[in-house]
Amino acid sequence: MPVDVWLDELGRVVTTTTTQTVADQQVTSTNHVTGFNQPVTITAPDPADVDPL
Amino acid sequence: MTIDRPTLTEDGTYQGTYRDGKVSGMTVDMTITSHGKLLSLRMVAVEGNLFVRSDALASELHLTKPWLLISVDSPNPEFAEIAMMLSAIVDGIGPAEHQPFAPAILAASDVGQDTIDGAPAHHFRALVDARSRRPRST
Repeated sequence: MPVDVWLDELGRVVTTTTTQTVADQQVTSTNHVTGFNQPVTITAPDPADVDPL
Repeated sequence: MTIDRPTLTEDGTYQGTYRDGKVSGMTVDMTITSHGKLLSLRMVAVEGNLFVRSDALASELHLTKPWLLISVDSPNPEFAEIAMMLSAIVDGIGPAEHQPFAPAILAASDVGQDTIDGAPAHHFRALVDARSRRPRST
């Protein structure tokens, strides 16, 4: 499976693409990184808004 | 992240935080287009729990609340299985998970200098044995 990788000047992966064949279909996946070490806020939803299954 | 197939397109934005090379929290906003139908999905993983929000999914499952907790402890075995699968995916995202795949690289080449988002970048190409299994952690 071919994998293309682009590294920035600090050696960080900024983009990857992979191409593979799944069930006779060609699947191309691209990951593109737009920021490093940026502030991120991740919070769980309000429990009152969650349906537990 | 974008995944394209003739009948299916997935496009999403991912934000994550890492601790010791593993994901400690993430949000994923994703749209999936399949045979002309559009599905929007938001996933939040935090504190070991995975939450999913999708209007289409809520309608399908007749949910009364906007968010769904996907838990391995779900009494519904199908949801418990989905939770295990998604947890395995999240566990495999962090940079610490990349190193074990190094032996699967069969060949690598230096394609040359390129530009990504207007910034200098270096392009490499590798041929990876997709059948190579990830070593079991001990």
